[in-house]
Amino acid sequence: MMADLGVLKSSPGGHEFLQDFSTTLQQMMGDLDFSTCRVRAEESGCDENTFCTPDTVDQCISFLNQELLSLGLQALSYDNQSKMACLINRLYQILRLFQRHGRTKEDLENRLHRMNSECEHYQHSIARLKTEREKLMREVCVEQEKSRQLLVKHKTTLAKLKSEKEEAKRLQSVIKDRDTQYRHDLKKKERECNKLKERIHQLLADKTPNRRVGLDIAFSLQSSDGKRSQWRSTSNKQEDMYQHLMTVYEDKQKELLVENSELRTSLQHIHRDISKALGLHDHLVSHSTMVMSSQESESCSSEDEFLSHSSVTGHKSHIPDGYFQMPYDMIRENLENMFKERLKKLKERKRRKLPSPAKSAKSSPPKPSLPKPCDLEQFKKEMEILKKQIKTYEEQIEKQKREKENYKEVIQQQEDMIQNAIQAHKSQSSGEVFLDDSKLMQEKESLLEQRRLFNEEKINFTEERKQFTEAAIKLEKERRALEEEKTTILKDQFFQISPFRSPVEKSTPSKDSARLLPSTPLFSPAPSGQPKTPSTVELFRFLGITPKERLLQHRNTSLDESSELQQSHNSEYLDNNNTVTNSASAESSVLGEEPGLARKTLFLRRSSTGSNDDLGV
Amino acid sequence: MNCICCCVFEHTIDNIAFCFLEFDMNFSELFRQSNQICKFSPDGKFLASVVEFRLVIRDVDTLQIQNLYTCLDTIQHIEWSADSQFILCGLFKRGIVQVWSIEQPEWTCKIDEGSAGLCATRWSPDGRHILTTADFYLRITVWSLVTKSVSYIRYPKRCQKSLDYSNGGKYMALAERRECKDFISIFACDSWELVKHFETETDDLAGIEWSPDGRVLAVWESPIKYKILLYTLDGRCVSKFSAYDNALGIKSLAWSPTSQFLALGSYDEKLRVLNHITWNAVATHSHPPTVKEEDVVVYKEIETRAPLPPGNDIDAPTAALFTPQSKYEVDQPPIDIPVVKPDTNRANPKLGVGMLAFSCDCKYIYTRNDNMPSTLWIWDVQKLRLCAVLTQGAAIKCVEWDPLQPRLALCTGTNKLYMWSPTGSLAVEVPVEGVFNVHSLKWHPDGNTILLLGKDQMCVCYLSDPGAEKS
Repeated sequence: MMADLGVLKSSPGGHEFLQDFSTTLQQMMGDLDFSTCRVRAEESGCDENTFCTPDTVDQCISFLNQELLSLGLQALSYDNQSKMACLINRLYQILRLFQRHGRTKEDLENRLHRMNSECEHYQHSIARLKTEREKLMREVCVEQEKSRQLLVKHKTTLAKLKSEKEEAKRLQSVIKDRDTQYRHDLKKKERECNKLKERIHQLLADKTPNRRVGLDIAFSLQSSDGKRSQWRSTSNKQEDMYQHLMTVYEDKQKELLVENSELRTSLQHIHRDISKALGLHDHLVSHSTMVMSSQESESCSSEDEFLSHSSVTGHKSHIPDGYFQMPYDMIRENLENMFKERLKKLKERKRRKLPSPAKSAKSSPPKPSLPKPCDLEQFKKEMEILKKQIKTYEEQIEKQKREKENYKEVIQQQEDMIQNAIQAHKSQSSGEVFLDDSKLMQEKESLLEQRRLFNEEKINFTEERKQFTEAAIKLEKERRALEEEKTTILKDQFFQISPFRSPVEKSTPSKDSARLLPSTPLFSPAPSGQPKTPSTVELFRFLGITPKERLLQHRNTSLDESSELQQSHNSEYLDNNNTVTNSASAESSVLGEEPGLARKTLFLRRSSTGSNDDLGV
Repeated sequence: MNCICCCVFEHTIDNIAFCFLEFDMNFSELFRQSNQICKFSPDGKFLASVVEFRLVIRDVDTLQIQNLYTCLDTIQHIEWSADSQFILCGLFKRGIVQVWSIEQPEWTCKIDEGSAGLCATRWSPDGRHILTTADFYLRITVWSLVTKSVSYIRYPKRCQKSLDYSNGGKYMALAERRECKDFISIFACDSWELVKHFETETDDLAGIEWSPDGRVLAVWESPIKYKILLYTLDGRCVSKFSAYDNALGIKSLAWSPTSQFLALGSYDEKLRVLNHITWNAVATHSHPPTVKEEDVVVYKEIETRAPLPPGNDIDAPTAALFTPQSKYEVDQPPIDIPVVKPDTNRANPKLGVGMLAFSCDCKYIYTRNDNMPSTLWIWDVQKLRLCAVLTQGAAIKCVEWDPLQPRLALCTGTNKLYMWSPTGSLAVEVPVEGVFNVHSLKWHPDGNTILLLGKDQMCVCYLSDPGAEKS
């Protein structure tokens, strides 16, 4: 009851209900004489919870009736017969009521829970939003503060800049002032210096009246050109100088002329090349120009400018060689326009990636010095075609190989079948062998013969193998000896470096008396660029593994030999088996074509030598 | 003596020919010299060297002493006359010049500047006159050895290069300073007559140099200002060039042998190449601290650590085994280049392009940026790009192109000689007894001999082509 109370209290609807309920309860309590009840209860030996005793049945019934009426139920009858049923009915009704109330209570409790959690959630979110808001507010404040500070800073820096500028100006003026001051002082000092020098001059002149005193010479020399000296001669040197100047200018002008003409010719060449690249002919003047002009008018309106020049540029593709020898200021505009136009065309062509016209391809053979875009494209195309061809060839080869294998399989099968047939035949006709006896004997004989031959060959091969291994060992020994020799030579050279050696050979015959000391410079060649010179890395690599490489080479050669040997093995072996094959050129090809056979040969080789060192497979 | 092939790889790779660096290198023994005053004669026959008071003339091929002249005091300067007949010795402390004849050893000549003092001396192009500069650049005196006449040129300017002869020796340009203004005087060298005198548009002229064809005279301003002016013989200003203002300017300058290019190295660590028609820059090459270009060949000197010698009393050839060996390794860009931070508070900071020269065939320029002292940059003139970079273990002391081939030799003050050519580089230790660090080097005019100068010793390196010998 108490728990229910709590629930009812918390739920809003239940609250009112509860109030009503409590008031009625109090009224009831007032009506009831609880004290008497309690006393009676004590007397009857019952506890408080006992509501009804046999003495108070009527009272209780009336009380219950009252209660039941207030709850809208039928009152209990005092009749003893129907009392029981009536009581049970009421009890049932009350139970129902109680159940209903319990359900609603549960429902309400659930609702309450939900409400509570929702409420909590809302409170939480409110709190969160509040903190967020606060944070944002703070941030805004911070940013505002920052901007304010920056503004202040900006202002101060502006002021500073201004002051610095002024300072700089001031300093510059100071520097200028000081500069002028220094200059002035310097001049003063220099003047003083000059005065002193003057004085010294005078003193010197006074002291040495005879100027020849200074020169003490055994005898006078002849002039270097053999002529007599022309000291203080009357010849006009200035005229000479101007003559000299004039020749200098003339030379310079000539140089400039040469350069100019070279520039003009190169311009002409460029023009011609561009024209060729564009597919314009000097000979097809009228036609091409017409086509061009029509194209221009079609292509875009911005070329109206060029069209306005058409009276001049009408001959643009037909320019005589002399045109480039005209004074440049006259032809400059035309030339510039022309080149602009051509460049535009070239760009357009490049953009569109149009194949150059056939006539241009014909007229302009690919120039290695001037790789034009169309040439490049052509080249690329050719490359593409070549690649395709290669691919098709490869495919064909692949196909043929496959066919070959198929054929071989067929042959193998046929052979097997024949063998089987023979076997079957033999087993079948074991009874009547006498007819085929001679045949069989013959066959057996031939087989034996073959076996003998094969054994012989096998022995030969082992012999050869042995020889070969011996040779390899010998080679290895020789190599080692060579290495040793090399090291001794190097050692010798190192000792020869020592400068105190008896002279062996003169580098130049003239240096007879000079004692020369040879040196050991360490040279570092420039990397790349020079085709002949390898980079140090390469050199070091070369140096570092020279012996290894030699070893490798040696191994390779031995491998080659072995493969050759093996090749012969193969061919012979195959011939023995009467198998049709193309002569195998190399081990790899054998492997690629007939894996089974190759494996057999390998197996043979292994078994023959017992060493599989040089089986690089 | 026996020759050792230069290319160590030749033992293993037979079919590779190194076109320019395939030669034997043989070194002479050491000779004494003082103050690194040694010069090949212009005709290439003789080698003059100084040992304090004495002037030693040796035959270049045999290195035998041909003549020995004794001067009055320590020799501070020598110069061969253009015809290789005479050699002058400047004894600046005494204020005298002594001249010696190769063909007539008994002939003597002494020039005394007297109380005016002496600070420089040089031959005229004809080899019959001697120009002496008095102390404080008071005057230049022209002494004729033919007529014994003496004449003075006053107001010469004290600067980097105040005097230059045009090619062929026809004219002499002299920078002068009068009344705080720069002038240039052009003299005809055969009569010493003044043919032109003109003022230049400079505040403080630093130097003058004729183009090799003698058509133009380059005049450059002191480093305070970036300015170069080009004058013709008659004083017309052909062109001016200035790359920037308000910073230290030109540090070094070189004409190409063909006169088509003028290379300018400046304090902004850049190399600018001007053309001879418009005098505009055709290329501006900077020297970045990281080389990123993929197609640049970077040679890095690698010093191998040598084992410690077993004892002190070992003979020279054995000792040579225990000195560190050097070799070049080819590095792949990007490469960081060691940079020395210059002290800009002091005058003449070690910054900017201080050394540059064109190769004889005008295909390459080398430069050294002074704040990257151990790196040599080689530029391709035709392709206008960096071609090779050599990073040395020590600061580069001296670089010189072969006068006949596109290859160069350099030294770094160590006991090694380095060479570069388009096909590769080499490092070689000078195989001599004792300590010999190469501080300077000079090519013989024939290009097959290099003179190596140490502190007080010298050594001659002969490069001989084994192929030529065989034939």
